[in-house]
Amino acid sequence: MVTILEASYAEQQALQDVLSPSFSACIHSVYEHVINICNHHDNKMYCLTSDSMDNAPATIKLYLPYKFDFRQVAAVGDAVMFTIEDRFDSSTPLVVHMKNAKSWICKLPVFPDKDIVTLVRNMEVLRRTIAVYGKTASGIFADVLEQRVIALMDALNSNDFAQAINNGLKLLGLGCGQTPAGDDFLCGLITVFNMEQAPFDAEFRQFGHRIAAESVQKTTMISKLMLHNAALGLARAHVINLLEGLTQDLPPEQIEESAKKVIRIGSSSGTDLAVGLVAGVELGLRRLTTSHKGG
Amino acid sequence: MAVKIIIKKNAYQDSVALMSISSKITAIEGVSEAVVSMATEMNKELLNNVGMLTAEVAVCDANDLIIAIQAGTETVCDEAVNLVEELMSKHVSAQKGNKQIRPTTISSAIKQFPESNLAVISVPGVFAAREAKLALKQGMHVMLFSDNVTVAEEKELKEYAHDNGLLVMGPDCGTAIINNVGLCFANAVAAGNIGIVGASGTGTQEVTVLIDRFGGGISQAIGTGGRDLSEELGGIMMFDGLQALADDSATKVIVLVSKPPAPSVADKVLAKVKECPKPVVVCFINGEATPVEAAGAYFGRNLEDTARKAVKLAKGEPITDTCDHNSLITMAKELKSQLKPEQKYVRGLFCGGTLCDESMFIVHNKAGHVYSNVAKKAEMKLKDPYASKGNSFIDLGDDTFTIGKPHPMIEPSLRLPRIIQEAKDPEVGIILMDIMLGYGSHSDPAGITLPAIQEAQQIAAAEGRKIIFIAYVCGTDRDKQNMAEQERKLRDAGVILAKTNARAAYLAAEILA
Repeated sequence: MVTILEASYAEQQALQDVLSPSFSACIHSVYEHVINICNHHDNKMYCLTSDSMDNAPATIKLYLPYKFDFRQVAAVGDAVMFTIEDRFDSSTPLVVHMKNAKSWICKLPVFPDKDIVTLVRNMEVLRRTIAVYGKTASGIFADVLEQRVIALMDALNSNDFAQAINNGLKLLGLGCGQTPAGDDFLCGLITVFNMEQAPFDAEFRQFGHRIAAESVQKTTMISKLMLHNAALGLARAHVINLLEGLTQDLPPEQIEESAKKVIRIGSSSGTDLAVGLVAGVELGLRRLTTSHKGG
Repeated sequence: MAVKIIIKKNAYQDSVALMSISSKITAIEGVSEAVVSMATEMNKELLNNVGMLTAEVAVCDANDLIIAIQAGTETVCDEAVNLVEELMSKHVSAQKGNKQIRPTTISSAIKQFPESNLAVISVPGVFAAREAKLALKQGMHVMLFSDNVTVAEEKELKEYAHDNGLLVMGPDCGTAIINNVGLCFANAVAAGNIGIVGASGTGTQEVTVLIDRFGGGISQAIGTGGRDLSEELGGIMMFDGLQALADDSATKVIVLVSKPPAPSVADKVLAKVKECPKPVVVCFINGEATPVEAAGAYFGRNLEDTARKAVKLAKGEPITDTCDHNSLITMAKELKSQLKPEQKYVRGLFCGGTLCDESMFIVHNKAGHVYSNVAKKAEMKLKDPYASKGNSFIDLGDDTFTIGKPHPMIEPSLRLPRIIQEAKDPEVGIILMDIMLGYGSHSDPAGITLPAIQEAQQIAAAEGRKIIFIAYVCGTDRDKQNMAEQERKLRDAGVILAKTNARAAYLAAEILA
């Protein structure tokens, strides 16, 4: 049986990659609303998601208005073909028709270094939303995660990057879920380091690259992809929208709504990601304040 | 202490499923620890720290899933392991080649079920019109639960349906009963000979449950969607629904229910009613009796009055003035004495839009100016739907509150913060609310709401005030939520229960008057 699905959106680089003549991929993993595929040539991973999810790096959204269960039509190991042709002969189990796919460009917003007052106010709404709607870690991971996050942030605050990398590596792969909580936190943090005009020196971005490099051995393939993208300054649309909103004079309800969209990612991943974003922005704010004081 | 480890190599289960498994295992009595995580170095280190790292786990890699269970006894561990295997087998990957075919499009569903003639569509608005059109073109009637369909799309769908002898119930149609089958938010009601066409979901619900209570039954309840009686749509489906019931041999009495229609459309509908050979009861919320009676129809003063008249007509009994609210006056006096002089306002917090409308107009006409987030008149419109003012009636099912969230009839907890917010206002004396039962509604709306009512009462009591909670449970004894139990919970919490939505509003109005 051949399943033909129609793409509605594709991240710009992913769109180019999958339509390249040398692209050859098969299904790596299948979930209800997501298929991960792996390119044989470079092991780069891409996601196929239903249209109800937000745009994201290396992601192609499929026109599926229903709660379509991918597990009914896709199996690990199946080959996947991408085409813009209307007619084709294919014995490939999964064909993605790309002709009408719109391109989505992932671009992080500029870190606000002018209107600090608005940012501080919006951050308060974000923290409150996380406190009310977020899902906290429990069980054996909870205390350890908290301690290691504090240790990491202390090191970053002190510009002690050697220690920060050590502490960051202790978060890598730590926690429950396909993307362990520590990875989600690091993803949020590293994303902020890569915002344009963010008050972070090159060492902060190097921290992100180091974590991404170490993730190859130390955590799941899906986390690895997520951290790799974060280190490159790539983030999913809900995260970008939240960061953009933080810098604007918006009603609290809108900030809250954007925050909730991030929190709802995965099971607890969104909460941990949001906490990482908060940590990054707060660190940036402290650095801005210190530099304004001439410290 | 016993430890058991389950390892799933290269296992990809989504995090929500993993969290669910984890919480179910932890809930087993005797399980002291349950860890569901990937076998990353850090997680293995942590397992080692708590004495749950085995040699088997030590050699796993980061893409392997570990489920580590620690319990008081081997028996409990085994029970937990069995549960995990059972839960995980429900989340397996695709079973290619299995014979069960799951249709993913309307066309394929029709091929699978060729006898079907109605499509119930609930997809995001941007896709809804397309799917509805596909269904219509296949000769199916449509119930369009989706909202965020444009007026132009709705008009196109309904005109096509009208030309082809089909119904489009919607968009934003939450309630219908077709051939005794309740759809979406409908209630479990008796079958009978009263047919309804409703441009109002909760209005239809209220009329159907009251008809059931008063000893009547429903032949069909056709929804039209809330915009059908607007100028742009001109009542296309109201006309077609009315005709369908006029032609239906099982329908003896017809009821029309709507929020206030556009005046020109109301005139056209009444002109059509005048031609109808069957008795018609018309309830246009806060409408005038004269034009309805001039059309030879019976005027439903409110939804309760509408249901009573419909049942009397169906039984061939004389129509009398059916609604006596004098009994509420005595109760109102006693309740008013419990309020401080500055507690002069009511806040209506509704899941149902029409029930909100009905209550709002009753209080407005009796007790003074009201504000609402769904008021049409500018002087009644609340500037900020999140901030009540004076007497305020809030339709919490309005789009303002439901974008990206479930409807409060499905998730009544969305109302809870607003209850607390209103209780903190020292000028509030009454909080009025609806509790909606039915097929599509939450399984325990009263239970979910109770903590907020109790907290609100405590907030008021701490400041030397009392808040009068008045509620109406819209449902029947046959509804899945157990109506008697819902009412008992509320009564035990000190909530005053009214027998109908109109009576709840009249009581509030009498207290304030």
